[in-house]
Amino acid sequence: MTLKATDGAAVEPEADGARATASQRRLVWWAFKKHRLALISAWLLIAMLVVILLTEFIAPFGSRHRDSAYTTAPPQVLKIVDTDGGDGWQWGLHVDGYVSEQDPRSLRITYEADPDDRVDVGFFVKGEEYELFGLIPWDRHLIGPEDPDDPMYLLGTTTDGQDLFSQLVYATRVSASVGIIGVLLAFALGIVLGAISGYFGGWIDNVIQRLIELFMAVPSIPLWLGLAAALPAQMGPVTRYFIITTILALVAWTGLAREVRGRFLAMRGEEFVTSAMLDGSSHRRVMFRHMLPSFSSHIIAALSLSIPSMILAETALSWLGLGLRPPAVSWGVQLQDASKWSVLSNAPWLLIPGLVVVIVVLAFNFVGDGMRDAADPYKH
Amino acid sequence: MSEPLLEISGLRTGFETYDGTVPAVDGVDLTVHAGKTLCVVGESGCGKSVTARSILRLVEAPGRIQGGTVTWRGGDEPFDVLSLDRDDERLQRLRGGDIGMIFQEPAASLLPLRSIGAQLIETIRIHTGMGKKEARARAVELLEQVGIPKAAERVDAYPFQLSGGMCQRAMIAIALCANPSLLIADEPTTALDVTTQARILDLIRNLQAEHHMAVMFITHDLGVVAELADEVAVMYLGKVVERAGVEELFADPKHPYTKQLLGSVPVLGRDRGRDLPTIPGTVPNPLHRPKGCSFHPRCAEAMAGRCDVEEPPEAVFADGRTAQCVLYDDRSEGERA
Amino acid sequence: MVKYLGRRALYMAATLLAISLVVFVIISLPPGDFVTALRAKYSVMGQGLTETDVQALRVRYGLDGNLLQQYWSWITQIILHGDLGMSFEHSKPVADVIGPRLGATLGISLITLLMTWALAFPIGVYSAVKQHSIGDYAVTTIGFLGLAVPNFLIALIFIYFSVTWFGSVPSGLCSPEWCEASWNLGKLLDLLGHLWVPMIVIGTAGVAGLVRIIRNNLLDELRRPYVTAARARGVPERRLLRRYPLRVALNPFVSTIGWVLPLLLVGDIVVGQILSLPTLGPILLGALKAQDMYLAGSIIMVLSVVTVLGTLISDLLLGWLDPRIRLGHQR
Repeated sequence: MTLKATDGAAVEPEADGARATASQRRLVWWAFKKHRLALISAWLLIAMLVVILLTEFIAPFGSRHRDSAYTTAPPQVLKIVDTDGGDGWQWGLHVDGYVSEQDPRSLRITYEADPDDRVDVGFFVKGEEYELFGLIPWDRHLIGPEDPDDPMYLLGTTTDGQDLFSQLVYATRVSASVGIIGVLLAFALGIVLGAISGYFGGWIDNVIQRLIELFMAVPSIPLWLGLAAALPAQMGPVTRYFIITTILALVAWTGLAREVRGRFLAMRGEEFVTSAMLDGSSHRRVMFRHMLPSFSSHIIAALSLSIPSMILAETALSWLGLGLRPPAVSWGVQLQDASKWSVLSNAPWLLIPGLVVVIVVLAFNFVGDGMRDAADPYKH
Repeated sequence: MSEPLLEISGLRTGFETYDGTVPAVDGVDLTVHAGKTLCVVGESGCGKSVTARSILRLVEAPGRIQGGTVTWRGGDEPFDVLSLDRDDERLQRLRGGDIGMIFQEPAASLLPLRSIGAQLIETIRIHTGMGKKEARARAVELLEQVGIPKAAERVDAYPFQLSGGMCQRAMIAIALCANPSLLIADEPTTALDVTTQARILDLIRNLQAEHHMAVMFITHDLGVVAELADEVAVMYLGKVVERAGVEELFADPKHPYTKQLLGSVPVLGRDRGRDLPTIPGTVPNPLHRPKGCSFHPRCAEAMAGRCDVEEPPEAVFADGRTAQCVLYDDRSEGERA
Repeated sequence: MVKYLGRRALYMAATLLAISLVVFVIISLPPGDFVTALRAKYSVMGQGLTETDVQALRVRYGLDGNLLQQYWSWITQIILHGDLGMSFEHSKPVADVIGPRLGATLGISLITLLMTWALAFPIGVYSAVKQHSIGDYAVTTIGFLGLAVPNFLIALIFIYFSVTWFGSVPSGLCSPEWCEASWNLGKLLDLLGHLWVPMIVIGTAGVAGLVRIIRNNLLDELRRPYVTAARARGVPERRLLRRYPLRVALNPFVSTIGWVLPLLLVGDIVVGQILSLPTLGPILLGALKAQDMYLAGSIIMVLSVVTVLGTLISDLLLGWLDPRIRLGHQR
């Protein structure tokens, strides 16, 4: 196979000293860096992680902040220079306040930017008090109005008069973590069963495999609809959050279990595993020191590719009113606000959470794809 | 010497990768004579398969034929295959018509979803314009000819129902269906076990005699070369380093690479109880081709200051054999005179 | 082939059993059983049930035994009498609620499935054959987006533009003047005019997913040795593509029925809700929200059975298309 040999050589230049001695992790990293989209997406996900960790600090307002004076107000533009004032240019971060107008017939109130009403905006401003990481009491916010009672709604407000941006920050924590925790749960289940299946083999493997096949044959979407709907209505938001996550994980674990088992089985025949066994390594050592690291990139790729469906499922479920419910905020709950067309047609900014869903889902997909391609540094 | 049938000259085929173009075939000259067998031999990665594929323009992206000519002299008028239009009739006729080709993995080279008969009949009809019935009869006849027992039944078998050896026979039948004047065999026995391998070689030899066709046989197995070849071309890293008649080559290898290659083959009796000599090192990455003669880092007779600096010249000997090596630079001048 | 068919049928039976168990669990999960809830509802309406009524109902639904007995009485009623239970919200037998809407749901799903295939197949093939072309990049990008945008979001975006441009949202499956009319060309055109909206919303994710599948499969197949071998024996390019890699890449395509169908059925819930279609979707959502569990469970059951049947059909098609499966080799 001349073709293969030359191809392989191109990706693995032996003459190149650095390449020849690089660790597996480095090789994967080098290959991953070549995917620009994946790299950008990875930074995006890291930013999202920061948002999840520092939610209360990043959101200008608390999750329950409600300003009934401004319902369904449009987004504001963050300005650096004030040219509207009488005395020429005035520097300083600010937004324009709102002026409201009521339609005499429909009684609907509409808001418009008022250039004469200047709301000063600053970084690290004092605002609502909160506890960072649930531990450290603080009252500073990354960005916000200098006077906490002034309206600063960068992405507009909801029909309830809540700041869409703050809500979005809180929703990101909930929705993204549902995806991540759900996938980790599914993965734990998958790796346990996959490992049992691979370790014992024989009829145990057979039974588990048939079980997985059966699980896969049962259509999953009606299943989680039904399970979610059967939850008692009066359940608290935190309990509900965990149960919904568990339901999603229960439905999604089969694919991951198969992936893990398949990798273990395929790897069992590889020469380096045989040689590790011949060297007298224990089963556990072979499995976790030799086998697992050699396909950890595959696992990360598989995890990253499973998160989007989890996020989409939660979003759809919550949007339908069967998943998380207010006062919990998730992307799906936020989008419920936009489902009445009479509201939506006047307030298209209510769809912004949908844009975030799409971006995050794409980012996970790109990172997963990039990882998958990078996971085989020796093969192509 | 008989008429030249196929002349490859200055062929260069490269693979485009992120790290640059990898020259898999780097200026190869070869001639196949009518009715004769040319064996192309070399380690894996030396470009012999790519050379074979380049003849019928079967190199696929990211590979690309970058230069040279492949002149076909089997027809009324010689023409350069490489300069033909993509859908030139002559290219279509050459593929499977004048030139038959068989591959390394017979089972993978047949579509699993269609019976071998269907694939054979299809090729027959493309090249002969026969009707369905006639083509089927011909297919059975061909399968019998290549030694498939119960051919009338097997014609409807699917590739996965046949052994590797049987699949290769079916492939040979397909390659022979239009009475080609050249059979290109790209390591056809590598994936088969030893007994099957011997039978397939016998079959090819018999068919060659029957049909008076030329064979270009790609292999890394010197035993096969000794058994089949009239002429041999030794390739190393995309270049033909030595060209000779089979007897001359085995009796008196000129190029150090050929010498070392022959030295690494066990000889019954002689080699009992002693370590077999191997060629030190591995084939270098074509992207980082050593300067000068690409074989010098592994060569036992390399001369510092010469082999690692300049490309070796091609030495031509009296009987027409050649070697790309500085060792014969002066002497070849003398012999020619 | 017989062995293969037998195995598939056995799997189907096991799957149906599993589905029925899950559905039963869903039905019995909410606290309080059906008769208690019904009794409460009737007493609110001031028409209390007599003890004998209650007793009869409890016996009818087998509510007094343990869970296993309850399951048994529930499943035997379904199998022997086609009795799916009572809808507590509609105060009608479940079958009467589902029946009239099942046709519309299956119709829309089937038409969308066919359209999905008709679109996805050529696009996927084009994208694979012209890999790295601008068209391929466009297709891949749109495909990524199609999979990343939840279908209800597509519906919302659609509504937004529809309202801003036309001032209204097309709803239902027919315009008022045609709804009562008997079938003719006008009604058909009207139906098609209404159908394309739900089709886009329901089908986008399916098309995107299928395009990706067929593209990846075809790319894999195009690199196989048999393609080179066929080219080497002079099979013309178009015929080569059609009869060789496309044939093989068709297989996984067929086996996607199993996951496309539920996708379409759930799309129906979203679209049905927004565009008020006479399909099962809105009914299911209403039932789930009101915890009208017999109705919800039955709809889930029906949808699952349809999916399982779809999977069986695709298995049969696969056996017919692929001799390796038919003759019991591999897989």
